[in-house]
Amino acid sequence: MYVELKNINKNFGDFQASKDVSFGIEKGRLVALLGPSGSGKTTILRMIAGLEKPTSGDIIIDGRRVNDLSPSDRGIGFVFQSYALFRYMTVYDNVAFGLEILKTPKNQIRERVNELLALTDLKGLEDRYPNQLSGGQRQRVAFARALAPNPSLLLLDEPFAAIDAKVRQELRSWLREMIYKVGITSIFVTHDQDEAVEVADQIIVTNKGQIEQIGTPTEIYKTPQTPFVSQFIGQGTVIEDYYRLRGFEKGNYKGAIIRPEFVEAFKNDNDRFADVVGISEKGTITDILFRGNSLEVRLDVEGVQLVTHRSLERRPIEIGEVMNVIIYRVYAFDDERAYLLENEELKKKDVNNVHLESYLYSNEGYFVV
Amino acid sequence: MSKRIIPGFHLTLGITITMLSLLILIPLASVLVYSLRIGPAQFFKVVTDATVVAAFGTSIIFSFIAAVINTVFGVILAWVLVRYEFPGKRILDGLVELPFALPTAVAGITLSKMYSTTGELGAPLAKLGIYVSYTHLGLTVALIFIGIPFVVRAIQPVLEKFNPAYEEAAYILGADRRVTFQRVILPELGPAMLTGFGLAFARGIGEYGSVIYIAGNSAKEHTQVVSYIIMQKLNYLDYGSATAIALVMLIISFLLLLFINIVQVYQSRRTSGVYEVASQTTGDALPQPQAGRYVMIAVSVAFVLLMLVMPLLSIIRNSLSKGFAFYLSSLDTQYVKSAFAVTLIATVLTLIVNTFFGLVAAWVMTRFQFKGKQVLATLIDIPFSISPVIAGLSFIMMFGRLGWAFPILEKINDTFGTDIQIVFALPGVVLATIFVTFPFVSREIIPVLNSIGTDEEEAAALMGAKGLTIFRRVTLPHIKWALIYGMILCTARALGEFGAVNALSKTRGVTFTLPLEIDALYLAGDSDSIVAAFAVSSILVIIAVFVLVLRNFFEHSEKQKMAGA
Repeated sequence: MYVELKNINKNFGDFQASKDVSFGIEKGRLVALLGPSGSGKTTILRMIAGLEKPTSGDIIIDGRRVNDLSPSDRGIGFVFQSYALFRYMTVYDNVAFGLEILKTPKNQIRERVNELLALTDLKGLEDRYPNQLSGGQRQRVAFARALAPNPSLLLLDEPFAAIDAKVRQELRSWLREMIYKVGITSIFVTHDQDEAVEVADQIIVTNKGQIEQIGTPTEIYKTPQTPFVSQFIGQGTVIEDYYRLRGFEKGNYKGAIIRPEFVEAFKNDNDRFADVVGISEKGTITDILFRGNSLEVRLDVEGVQLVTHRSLERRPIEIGEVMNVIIYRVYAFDDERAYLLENEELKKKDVNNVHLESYLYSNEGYFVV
Repeated sequence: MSKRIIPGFHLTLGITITMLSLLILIPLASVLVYSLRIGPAQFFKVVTDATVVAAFGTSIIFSFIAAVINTVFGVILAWVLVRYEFPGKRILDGLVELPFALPTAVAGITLSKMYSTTGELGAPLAKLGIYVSYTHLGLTVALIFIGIPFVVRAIQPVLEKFNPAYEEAAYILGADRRVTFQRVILPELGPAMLTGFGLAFARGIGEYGSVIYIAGNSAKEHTQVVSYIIMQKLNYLDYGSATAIALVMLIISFLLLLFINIVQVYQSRRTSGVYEVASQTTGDALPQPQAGRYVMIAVSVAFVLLMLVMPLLSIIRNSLSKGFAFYLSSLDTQYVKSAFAVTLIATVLTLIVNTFFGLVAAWVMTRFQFKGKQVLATLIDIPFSISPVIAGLSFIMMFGRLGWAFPILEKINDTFGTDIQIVFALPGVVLATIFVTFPFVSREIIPVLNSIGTDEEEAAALMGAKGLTIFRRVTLPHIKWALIYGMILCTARALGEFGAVNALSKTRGVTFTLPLEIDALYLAGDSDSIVAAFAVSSILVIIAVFVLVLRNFFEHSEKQKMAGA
C-alpha cells in the first residue's frame, strides 16, 4: 500500500469528523473520496496533506509514518477547492513558487515551469494574472502549481466545484488523462457520484465520518454493501413494502431500494416480453416526465409507487395507461447491510440464466452480478 | 442601459448632488474664486514665501513619517485584532477608534501637557535630553495619534476576509511564515495598506487641532504647519494669502484622494472575478509560533497604552488636580454653559442633515450604476482629507464681507428687514460642523449596503413595493447598526470639531463651542484656567469613551447576528 490510514480519529471540539477510518491505496491509483457534504471526506484529505492533525491513528505514505511531518516534507501536491491561486502573482510565478521555496536554480525552475505549462496547455498565458483566466485555466494552473515540486501523491479537494457545468464535463476527462500521463497516485474529494464514477478507478464512500465501502466504481454501483451506499449511489427510491411486488417475499429487512433500471414496464402486446408476461403484474402510469434523452415514468403497482425510465424510441404512453410491470431485483436492507434480492419467479423461469438477455428491451437495464 | 428596477435613482441622485454642491462644493469653490482674484504674481509670491514653503515642508514630511509609522503599527494591530484571541481584545479594538471620537483640541492640549517638561512622560524624557512638546517629535506624536485608526480600519476588513487557503497553499509548497507573509499576505494587504497610509497622510497634512498646541508653531524652528499659517493669515484678515495657501493644500488633498481611489480601482481589477469559495478551513494546522504571537500582542498593547490610553488618563488626572470642587466650579461658568448650548445646537442640526444625506447618498452610491460615480464618491469624501481650517475659510470666503454671497445676504436682510448673519455667528458654526462631518454616516452605511447586495430590494420592487416601503422594510433592518454607529460617530466628531469652527467663531460666550472654550481656557495660560480646560475636556472625553463602548456593543451584536445567520 502506498498510502495507508490506520484507525484515524479526528475531533473538532465535540464534533467527531472521522471515526476509526482505515484504508489503503495502491501506488498509481486514482481514488475518489465520495460522500455527502459533512461526511468527513475533506477532513480525511486534509489530514493526509498535513493541514489537520488526526486526534489519534497513523498516516503512512510510502512506508513512512508522516503524522509529525510538515506538509512540505510529505511529498504531496494539493489542489484547493477554490484553487487559492496567488492573486498577485502571474501564472508563471504561481507555478514557480514551490520551486523557489526549494531554492531550485533559476534555469531549472524555468525548465520545469515551461514543461508543466506545456503539459497543461497553458503556453502563452505565463504573464496573465489569475483573474484574467477562465475557470478551467485556473484549475490547470492550480494543477501545474501542485505538480511543480514533483510530488509523489496528488490531493485534490473538490477539483470541479468552482467550474460551471459545461466545462466540468471536459475537465473530468482532461484531469483523468493528465493524471495517468503523469502517473501520479491521486486522491480527490467529491460529493458528485457521476464525477467519482467517471474519473476514479477506486471509490471510497464516506458517511458521518466513517468509511462505508471501498471498491471499483462498478462494485460500488452493482453491489452496494450498506444501506447508505445503496441509497446514495444511483437514483433509487426507498420502498418499505417491497414484498407486495410480485416475485419478492418478505424477509427480515427494513425496506428496499429500487432503481429505475430495475423496473420494466411494457405494453400487453409487446412480443419481446411474451415469455414473461405471465409473471408480470399490472401498474398504472401516474405521471410522465420528459428527461431529455428519456422519459421518467411513475407507476402505481399494488399501491407501491415505482419509477422507471423509458426510451423515447419506444411506443408512446399516456397517463392512466395500464402497463405490465416486472421488477428484476431490489436492494433490501436492514440496519447494517444491503442485500441483493432477485425476482424469484423470474429466476425460476430461467434456471440457467440462458434467456435472461432476451427478456430485456436493452442490455443497459439488466446486468448479471 | 437597462431599466432600473430599484426606484428612486433620479430623486436620490438629485438630493445627493444638490446637498453636496450647497454644503461642500460651492463653499470650496469660493476659496478657488477668491484665490484666483489675487493674480498669478501675487499668488506665486504668497506660496513661495519662505515661511509658507517651510510650513508645507513640515506638514508633508512629518505627516509622511507619522503615516509610515502608523502603517507599520497599523498592520501589527490589525493582525493581532483579527488573528489572535486574548483577554481584553475587544477593549483594544475599541480603543483604536479613540482618536476618531476624541475632539482634536482635547487631544492637542493633552498631548502637549503630557509631553511638556513637567508632564507625565515629558519630565522623564527631558531628563534623558529628549524634548517632545514644541518640537518636531511632538508634532509627529500628535500625527501618529490622529492617524492610527485610519490604517487599522483599512487593513482589518481585508485581513478578516483573507482566505486561509492562500496561506495553506504556500505552506504545502514549503514556504515558512516569513516567506508566506512577504510573498502571499503582504501583496494582498498592499492596497489596503496604501489606502490607510494615504488617508492618514492626507489627514495629517490638514490636521489642525491636535498639532497646534504641541508643535510649538515657531517659524524659526520650522514647527509651523500649513493649517496654522492659514489660521494666522485669517487672524490678520489677510484673506488673499489664506486662500492662496488653501488652494495649494486643496490640490495636494485632491491628488492624495485620487491616488487612493486609483489604488482601490487597481485592487478590485486584480482580484475581481477570481472565484472565491467560502473557506471551510480554520487555518488551525498552520504553524503559529507562540513567541511571535506574544511579541505581537505585547507590541500592540504597549502601543495603544502609550499612544492612546495614557493621554486619556492624563486628561482625567489633570482635570481633578485641583480637587473635585474646583472641577465642578470650572464647569459652572457662563462661558461653559453658553458653549455647551452652542455645541448642542450645532451637533443636533449636523446630525439631522448628515444622517439624511448619508442615507440618500449611500442609496445612490450602492444601488445604481451611473457615469461619474467614482468622481462623486471622491467628492463626497473631500471633507475627510482637507484641513478643517479650509472648511472654515470656505464659508468666510462665501458669506463673509469679501465673499460673493455677501451682497445676496445683504439684499435678503434689506428686503425682509431681517438680520441674518452667517460668518462669526451660529449659522456659520453649524455649517462648518456639517461640512467636516459630512461623509461620516454615508461612509458607515456604504460598505454594509454593498455587502448585502440588491437581491432583496429587487424582489420587493418586483412585488410592487414603493421606494420608501422598500427602504423601511427591507433595507433599514440590514443597515440599522451601521446607521446608528455612523450617527454616533458623527455626533462625536460634531461635538469635538475645532479647526473649522475656530475660523468662523470669534465671540467667547456667544458663538464659542466647547472645544473653543477649552482652547480659550488653555491659552489663558494660568494654572487655574488650564485645569479648567481639562475639566471641560473631561466632559468630551466621557462622551468619546461612551461612543466607543456603544460602538463596541453594536459591532458585537451585529457579529453575533451574522454568526447565527
